[in-house]
Amino acid sequence: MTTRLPSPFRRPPDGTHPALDTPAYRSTALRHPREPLVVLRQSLTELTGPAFGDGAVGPLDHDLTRQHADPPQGQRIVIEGRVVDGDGHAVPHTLVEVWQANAAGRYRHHADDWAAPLDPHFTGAGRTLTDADGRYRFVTVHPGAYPWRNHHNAWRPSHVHFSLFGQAFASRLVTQMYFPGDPLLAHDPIFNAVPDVAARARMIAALDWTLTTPGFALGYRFDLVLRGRDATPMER
Amino acid sequence: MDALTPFQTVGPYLRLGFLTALGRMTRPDGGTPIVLTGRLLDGAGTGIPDGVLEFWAPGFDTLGRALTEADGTYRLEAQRPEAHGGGAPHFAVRVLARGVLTECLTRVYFADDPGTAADPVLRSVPEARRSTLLAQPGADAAYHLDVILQGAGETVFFDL
Ligand SMILES: [Fe+2]
Repeated sequence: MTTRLPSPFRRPPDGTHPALDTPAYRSTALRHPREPLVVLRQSLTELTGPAFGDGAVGPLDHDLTRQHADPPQGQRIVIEGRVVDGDGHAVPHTLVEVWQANAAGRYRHHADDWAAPLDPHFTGAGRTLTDADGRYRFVTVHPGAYPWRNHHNAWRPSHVHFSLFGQAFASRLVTQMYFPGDPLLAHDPIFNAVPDVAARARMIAALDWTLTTPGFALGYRFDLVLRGRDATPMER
Repeated sequence: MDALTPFQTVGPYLRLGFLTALGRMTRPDGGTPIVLTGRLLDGAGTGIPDGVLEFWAPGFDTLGRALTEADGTYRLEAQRPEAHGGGAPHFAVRVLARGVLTECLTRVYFADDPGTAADPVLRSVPEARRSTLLAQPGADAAYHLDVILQGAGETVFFDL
């Protein structure tokens, strides 16, 4: 029997993604496999993924400044962008999740215990679906930098965590969005775990005057590029 | 060359952002209910409290997301996946955690399935390591499999 499978996804270029073993980021030490990876031919399992309808997210899930009775402290910002694959094709109707620290650099999470204030009006989590053209939009506040225990006087640059489901299991992406001109980027082992300098730069949003709204919020553009598919379908 | 966005770790606070499909995935066409549990362990044998296992198989409604507890325990409610393409029933699994910087992909097969021994992907894995991908059956449709990121009994991870 011949089953026509969706086309497989191309390999990511070398240097695009970090290595699992990245000594400068100490938490990788006991959390990376030492055995070689086994090469896996993409099958229907990896070439499919969940589909989402409009009911998957609520009307205010994308606006982190309107999830409580009053607005949160901090610099309000808009983050907007387009999710495409490696060929520039839109990735429509895919779930995008974000989470972040508040303006003081504190997460609403039981494990975050450093001495910055929580904001009763900020949870720091949002979700949306991309539209038919792959576009998404969040309203939030500029997250603060925060200290961590990786090395002496270690501080994470301001960032927003992004999780994208993509077209299939094989094209899912979890990443972090950074802000332009942040002097902490040069010192961050997680940002710098990406070997290719040009790829690293693709995690930095751009201040965009077309998204900046007079009297309301600064606008940042953050486009995301997921794996693209080979041109020809596989047969087996 | 594809100008892809790089992968980054979920960091320690993933529980804040992962709000969808927690601990449960459903096959709309039915199938035998199962519960899969185990622990996510690091290279010192310590449970990983800030991780998630994401499960997928064709025919389900969503990824099944099992966030780990303080001792690394995870729990997924699902149905047995269907076999397809000449392989035995299995889930694709993605491990995300603090300290995991990029793709960390494995599979879960069912030790009691008659097709498992002949599965071509399992047979591509060194024989001594195949058991790291086999969920062992217990009572009441419960299955158990620990996922070990490093060291003795290290789980097989795949390059996709
Ligand atoms: Fe973070």
